Amino acid sequence: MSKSVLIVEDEPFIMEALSFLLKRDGLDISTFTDGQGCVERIQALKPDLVILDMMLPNRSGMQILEDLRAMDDFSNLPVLMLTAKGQKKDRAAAESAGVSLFMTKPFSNKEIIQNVHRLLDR
Amino acid sequence: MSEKQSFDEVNQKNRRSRKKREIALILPVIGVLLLLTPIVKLFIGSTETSPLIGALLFIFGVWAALIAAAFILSRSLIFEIRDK
Amino acid sequence: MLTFNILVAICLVYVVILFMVAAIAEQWAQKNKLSFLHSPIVYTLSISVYCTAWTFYGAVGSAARNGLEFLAIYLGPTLVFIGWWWFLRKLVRIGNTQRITSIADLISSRYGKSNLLAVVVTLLAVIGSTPYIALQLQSLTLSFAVFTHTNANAPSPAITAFLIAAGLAAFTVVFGTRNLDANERHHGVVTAIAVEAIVKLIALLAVGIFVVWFVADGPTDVLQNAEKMLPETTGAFTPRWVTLTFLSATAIICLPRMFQVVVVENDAEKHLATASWAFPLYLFLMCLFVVPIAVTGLEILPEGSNPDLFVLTIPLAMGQDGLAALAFLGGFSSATSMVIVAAIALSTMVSNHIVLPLWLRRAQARNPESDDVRSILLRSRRISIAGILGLGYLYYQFTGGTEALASIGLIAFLGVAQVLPALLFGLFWRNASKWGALVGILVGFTVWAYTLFLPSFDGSFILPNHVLENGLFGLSTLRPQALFGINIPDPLVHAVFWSLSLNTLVLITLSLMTTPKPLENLQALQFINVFGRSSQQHMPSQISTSEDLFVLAQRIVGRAQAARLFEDKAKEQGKLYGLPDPTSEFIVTLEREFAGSVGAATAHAMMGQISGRETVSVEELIAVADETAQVIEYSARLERQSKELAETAKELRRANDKLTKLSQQKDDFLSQVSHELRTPMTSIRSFSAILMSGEEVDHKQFVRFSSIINDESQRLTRILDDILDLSFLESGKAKLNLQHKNLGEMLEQSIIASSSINDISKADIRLSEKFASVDLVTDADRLAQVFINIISNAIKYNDKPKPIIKIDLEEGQNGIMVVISDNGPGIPEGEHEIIFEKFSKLSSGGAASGVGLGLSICAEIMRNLGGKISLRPSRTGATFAIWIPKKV
Repeated sequence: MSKSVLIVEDEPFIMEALSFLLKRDGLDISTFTDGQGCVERIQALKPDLVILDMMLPNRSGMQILEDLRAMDDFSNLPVLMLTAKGQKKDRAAAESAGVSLFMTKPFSNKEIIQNVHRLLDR
Repeated sequence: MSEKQSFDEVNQKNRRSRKKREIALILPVIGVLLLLTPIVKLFIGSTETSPLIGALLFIFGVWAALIAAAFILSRSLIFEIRDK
Repeated sequence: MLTFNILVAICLVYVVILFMVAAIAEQWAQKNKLSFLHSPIVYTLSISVYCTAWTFYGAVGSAARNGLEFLAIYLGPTLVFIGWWWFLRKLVRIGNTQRITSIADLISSRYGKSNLLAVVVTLLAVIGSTPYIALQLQSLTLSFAVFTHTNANAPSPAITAFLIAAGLAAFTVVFGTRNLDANERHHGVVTAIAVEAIVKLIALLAVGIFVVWFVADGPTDVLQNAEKMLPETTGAFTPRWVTLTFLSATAIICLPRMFQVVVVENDAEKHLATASWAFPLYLFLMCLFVVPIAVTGLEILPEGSNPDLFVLTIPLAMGQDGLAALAFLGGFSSATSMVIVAAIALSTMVSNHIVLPLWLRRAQARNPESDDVRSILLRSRRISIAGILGLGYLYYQFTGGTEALASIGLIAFLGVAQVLPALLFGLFWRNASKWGALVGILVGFTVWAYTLFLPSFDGSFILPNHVLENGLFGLSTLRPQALFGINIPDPLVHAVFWSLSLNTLVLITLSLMTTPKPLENLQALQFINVFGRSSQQHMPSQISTSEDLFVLAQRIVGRAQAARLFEDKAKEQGKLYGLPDPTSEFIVTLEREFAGSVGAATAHAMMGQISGRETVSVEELIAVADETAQVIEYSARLERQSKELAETAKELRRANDKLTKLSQQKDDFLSQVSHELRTPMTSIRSFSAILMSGEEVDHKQFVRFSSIINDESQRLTRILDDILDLSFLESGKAKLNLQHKNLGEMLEQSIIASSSINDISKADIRLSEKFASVDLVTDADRLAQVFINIISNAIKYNDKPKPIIKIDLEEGQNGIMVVISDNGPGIPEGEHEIIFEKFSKLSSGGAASGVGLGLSICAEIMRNLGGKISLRPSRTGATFAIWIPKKV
């Protein structure tokens, strides 16, 4: 059974790129574009990995991450966070909130695929 | 280290010269006590020699002693004045 | 046989020798060949002028009559000299530093340079010395008479005395008043006196040796005789003994001639050290043979012979004419040296303190030149010398030559001793005041005169006999020799007691009641603290102060730190070793250090106690006052500065806050910009990487991905352009291109432009006709930019199947309002302000593509044009109101 990945991203083109890359790689891709309802979707879907954008409408990626980590089921869920903001404090905050991996946009296709596999193989 | 030593040395020297000066001050007082008060009467009352001769010898004896003491003191005090 | 003429010849030869000695000494002094003259031996020998004819002759007489009593006269000076360190030294130091010329000068100077005091002391000295001079004359005539009583041709005593007096006056005038020495030093006279001292000593010793070993059978023999001959009571250790010792101790300083040789003629303090033992030694030797001579005289000479003259009569009786002549010479030396020095001292006082002030007062109109002063001084001195000797002669004649020389001397001693309280207290007590000294001296003088001096005339002078018996005005309490009923048997002791105690009492009382004037105070401090003022020399009291400080420091801050403090200070003061000087600065430093251990108040008290010994000179006071003034001014300046600084700090803080805010804003903006730029970049990068990878993509995907890349690139470019545009507009550097334009035309063109961006085929844009008649002067391009932006947004965000956009005109006073409203989703009430902020995103928005800066640019453009853009509240859709002034 192939692993499932949930991509939470509000920018459509970026979403499209990510989906294409990961699908081509053989992963089962689900998408979500809103901060609100994200956690429920994860609960419902129970993906093996969540790619989480920081800037989301209605709810920020950070908050979602914190919520996940507060829940027993998803405290160990691999979460890959993406951000287009260049500030160091974001990385630190995410790491202290328990993110599994933190990447900035624009990203390298090869790198993101590698990281996804790494997180999935854990 | 040597500077500290000389500081101590000079300090001691000062103390010594203070002693000398104190003696210089006390000497006349001793003289006054001996010569003006009838101390001698305590001593010569019992001897054979007459009070006159006793007194005479006593006075001249003390006198000579005072001169000698003053002589010794003045030698060292002169040194001090010369030093400065 | 010694005849009168031979004697006279001997005397004349002797005098000539003295003249020569004096002359040579003067010459040396002038040529500055002073080494010999400066020797301590000369100084010590000159002090021996204390031993006058009274010593030479009168001591033997006193021993014969009163036993050992005479020794007291010599023990007093011995004690004073042995104890030179604390009193004589101070006196000599003062004399040198203050350039004192006489005892009257000293007293007057100490008490605020009071001329009145100087006059009183001078008169006192003259009156007191007169009997003494008379005594010398008397002894001289007596000694002459010993040789000439057989000779009928010899002149009478009166004439002898007169001739002697005249001769002495002449000698003194010649050698005492040759010239004026600024320091009143008389080198010639002093040297001659020293020679006479040697002659005296040799003469007396010679007679003494002769008596002990040639007349008697050695010392034991003499002593045995002494037992038999001399009275039972030893005369020693009685109240009179003590009184005499005290009196003679006083006299060694207060007698004008003694003050002259000890203080005025002294030019090197260390001579005192030699004199401290050498002078007592001289006295010792002089007294050594007095008792033997007296005893022997009593034994071998007939009953009733004058014991005063034993020194002469014994050799004569034993046939030793040569020795007798030597003895005569000794006596002659004794008497003449006294008279000469006394006359000089007294005449100096008279000329300086009486004649000169009077003359100056009279010569106030004309400017006295120094030559005039000089000649006045010399002349007055010469006249005074003659006068003083004349007085002495008169006294001698008047008193008829009483038997005992000694008693006259003692009267003189007590007379000059009246100066002692003023002197002693003046040198040690700061509050001793002029009036205390003056009235004290006068009271003492009066008591002296009443109890001792006048009674000595035995009723023949001023004080009649019945007063002696019954007291003044018949009051027994005022009997001259038993004042206030207290019966002290010995009139001398009685007089000494009353005169000096009343003198001292008045001095103390009046000093406590009066306050000294500033000059007097200053003088007092200078005199009392004469050892404290050091220039380059290491003064003992300064050492002791430094030592005290060091001991204190050790106890308070510990040995190590104290040593360090003192060493550092000494080094600072440039001393390689030894304790540092206790300067006020150092004391302040120490006080600070101590305060750390014992508290500021205690430290201050300690330092005050110690440093109180040091004089605070007027300069130091002024310096302190200056410093204080400076400190006050400085602190005032500091206060002003600190106020200014507080203001500046406030300003700085405000600016800093602003900067911080701006910085924060900048950071926020940058991060936003970064985000806005990175987002399209991500798509571009990712898709181009996909295409580049060479992996299989189908044609549809290829076209799709390429177009995304293209679109996102454009988006990126738009964002960059917007950023630059906005930045340009905000910087204020944007120039307005003002044109005349018709608003209707502008709007139509804007609509057309908007349509090229968006698909407006379905949109219904209703432009009001009123615009056609409105003309504006404005930057048309910019204004169009605003319209295009708003209209495009209206179209883009409209989700209705049929978008309707209405553009209306509202006329105002100074401008017009363009109202663009649509039927789209509208903008929530709370966000009407925010949407004009940079990069604000609508929370309810759909696809976000470049919404961020558009409205900010519009707002900025309107600001530049002097207008405004805002949102109106509306139930449905968004309503933008654009206010344009008629004239920019």
